[in-house]
Amino acid sequence: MQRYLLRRLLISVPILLGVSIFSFVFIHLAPGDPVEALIDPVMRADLGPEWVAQRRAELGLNQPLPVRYAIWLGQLAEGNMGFSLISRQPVGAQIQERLGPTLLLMGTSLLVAIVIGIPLGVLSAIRRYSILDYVATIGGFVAISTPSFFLGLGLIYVLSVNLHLLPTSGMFTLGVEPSVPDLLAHLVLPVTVLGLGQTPQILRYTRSSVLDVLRQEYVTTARSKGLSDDVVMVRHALRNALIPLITVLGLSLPNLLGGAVITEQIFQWPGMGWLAVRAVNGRDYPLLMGVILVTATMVLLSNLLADILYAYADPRIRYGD
Amino acid sequence: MSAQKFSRRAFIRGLAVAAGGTALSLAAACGPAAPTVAPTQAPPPPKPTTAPAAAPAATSAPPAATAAPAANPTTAPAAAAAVAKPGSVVQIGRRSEINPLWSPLKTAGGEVQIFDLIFNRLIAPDEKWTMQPDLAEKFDVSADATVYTFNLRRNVTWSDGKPFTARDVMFTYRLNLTKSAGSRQAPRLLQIKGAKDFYEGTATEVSGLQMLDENTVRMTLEQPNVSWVSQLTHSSPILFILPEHVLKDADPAQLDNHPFIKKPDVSTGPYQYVQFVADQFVEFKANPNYFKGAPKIEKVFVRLAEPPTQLAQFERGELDVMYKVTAKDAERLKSNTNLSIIPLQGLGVFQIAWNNERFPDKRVRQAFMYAIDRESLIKVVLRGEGRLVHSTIIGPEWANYNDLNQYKYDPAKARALLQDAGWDSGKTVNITWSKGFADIELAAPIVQQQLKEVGFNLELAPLDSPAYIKKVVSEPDFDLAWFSGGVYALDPDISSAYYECANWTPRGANTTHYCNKELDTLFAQGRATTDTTKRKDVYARAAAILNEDVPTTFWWSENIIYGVSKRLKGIKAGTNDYLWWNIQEWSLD
Repeated sequence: MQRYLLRRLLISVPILLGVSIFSFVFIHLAPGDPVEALIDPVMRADLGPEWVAQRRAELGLNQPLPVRYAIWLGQLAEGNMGFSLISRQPVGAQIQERLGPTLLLMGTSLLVAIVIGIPLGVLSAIRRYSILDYVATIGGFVAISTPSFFLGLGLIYVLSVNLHLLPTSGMFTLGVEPSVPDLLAHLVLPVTVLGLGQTPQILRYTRSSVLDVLRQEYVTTARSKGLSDDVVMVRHALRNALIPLITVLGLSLPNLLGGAVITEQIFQWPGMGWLAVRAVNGRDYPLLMGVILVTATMVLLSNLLADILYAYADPRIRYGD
Repeated sequence: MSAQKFSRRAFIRGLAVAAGGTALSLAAACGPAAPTVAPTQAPPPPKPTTAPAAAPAATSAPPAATAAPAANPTTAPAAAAAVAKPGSVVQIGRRSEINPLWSPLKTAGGEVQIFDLIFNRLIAPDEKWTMQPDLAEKFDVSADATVYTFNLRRNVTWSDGKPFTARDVMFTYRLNLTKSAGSRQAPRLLQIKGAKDFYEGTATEVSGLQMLDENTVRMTLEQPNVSWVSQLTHSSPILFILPEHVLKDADPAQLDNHPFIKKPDVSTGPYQYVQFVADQFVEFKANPNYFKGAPKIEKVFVRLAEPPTQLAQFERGELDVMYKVTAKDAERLKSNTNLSIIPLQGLGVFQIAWNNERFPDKRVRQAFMYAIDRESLIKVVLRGEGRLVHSTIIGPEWANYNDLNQYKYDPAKARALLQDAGWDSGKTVNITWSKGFADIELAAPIVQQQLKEVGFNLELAPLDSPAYIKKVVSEPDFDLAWFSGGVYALDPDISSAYYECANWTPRGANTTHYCNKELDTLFAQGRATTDTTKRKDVYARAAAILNEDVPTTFWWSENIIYGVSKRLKGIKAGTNDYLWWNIQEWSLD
């Protein structure tokens, strides 16, 4: 197992390097640059090209691409992700200050999705084709088909603007001492939107996995031993059914850090998704590279984690020797 | 697996506990994890029942030391008596792209409005765009419009207690004229005598910039330009004055990294900068020593959000001032009793710039004007909140020329003109714009349809902002470009930047690459005299040329609609789209 782990970790390095080169080239292929992006288009024409050229030189944008990549890589090796071209803040700091809110939002949403999705999925499977099953399935389709901005704005208008039950956006109420109840109140709507979006997938996977397990011979054996349905479910079927979910959840882990762009924008939640989009629109290359790198690392690590956990959970899987 | 001590059961159990525990601890950790947000107390409840009650019972009641309204009218005067109501908060909405850390020397976008809250200029416009004293208590212009003398106020102090003097003015102007500082105001400042030499490094002083004494500054221009001060636009020669004592040892080339630029907390304006929480808001607190009177509202938050979210915040009462409400939403909000809708006559022009080099025949452009039913479009797109314009010379009041060709909707005439010009109706013309202009997006399909009916094929191709700028301005390669905005109504000379032969992009602002010597001469004449009657004639002819040649096909000037909470008092609205020009006079119910 250790050898396997080591191999996986070692191979991550060239993968990350490849991702960084690919990303670097691609984002620079997009027309325009950060200096252009910072200027109101109507006002841009008032500035001369020398002014723009000067700004570009200041930001180091007039050097050839390989040189800029080498500089970036060198800085990275020293643990420095560079400075955002737009805000002049260190990239690392900017990402760090968003990690917390992103994890909070995405983590809570995932938790909600699990807490609703798994039990519902199990029940759907046990009572297949019952009313509950149909409601859950159709509800799932509706949830997955509704665009998040529509759902988000709808919820804001109904619950916040019209009924005054919850705040519209942001993480905290401005001008007030931050508190956990305030934070939780602000968390409700975005988590609802995201949670509802993730639930259907977990629900369906759970449902089909449980159905699969229920067909197995050992379940029949357990029943024929005289065990009650509940005991059969919990002690034998359920645990085995939940194993494939590890993969599903493992695949959702990168989202924990990636954030959800649209939801963050609608709810003014300072997350990684919004940061990434702003970086793209502003052609903020260092920031964008930082975000891509962090996300890529997250993807590699969570895949590895999912594989390892799977090996622990399922004794039929063996890695390496 | 046989070597494992713990069973799978325990493992899975452990996993569940770990997951739950992590989530909970995250929630707890992230609670106080944003302590940088909102340092002080006192909530602004949506329904101010318990809040420091407004006017009545000023004596007893609240901790609010509001001397302002109800108190003693006798001791009312001056900054000393009135204190900002503690806990009073005003929230202003802005779109998300604000970057307050971009230096006041370089800022070209919405950040200007942020700096207007903390810095002052020598003169500043009131709601009617009439220049009023700001840091300069009076200014005069010589008869030939070349010499500007500013008498500065005395007894103005920076927020750190140091006195404000003419040295700050001199320093600011010199800094902006230092090439390595990269100020975007430099082009307009080059009109000062000797500025070019200083800028290029061949002189150590700007000969036209003189400090006559501690409180007087004189600027002499190379050429007469009567509209030099009225051009209070984003690239304004009337600059934000920065503190010399803070920045004097800063390296102009490294200014962006200077701590003051990142946190401009020494200022003269009505409010002081407190903090900027990225993607969320900028926080300001009242300056009790403001020379025009202490603000009555203690804190201001400029919140950054996307328009739909801002609208929701505004309706909910979380936002007090919303900038640029769309006409459609304004209609709906008119029936809301907690909000006021304030339409301001806009200064900009909604127009399409033609690449005159690719389309030199003016008949084609005129046909375009006739082919589109602009009046109906105003009703549909703007809900009537705007006015038709017939050139880009649309203001001030004396420069409004309405007896020009109205280009009334006439598809038959359009077809005839296109035929005359030998237009190939199989040709497709590409039109581009910078994404995010809701009006353009609404109008585009209708326009495309109306043009098709006269045999003109339009291909719609919006781009995101940097790509648009590259295609239209820095490396021009476009057919038609659609945009809105500008401050044309401020002064007729503003249009000159967009049509003069010497200003072709990428050098200048003339995206159409239009060149008309007669027009250039007229613009020069208009700048040279302060006599409004003379200017009126000059610009009448200029407007007629623009109306006839239509280098840009102009459509309308849309109103800028502000949404304001009814709790907010003291607002004076006119044509100035910077609604908080008198923010120190605002108060909350």
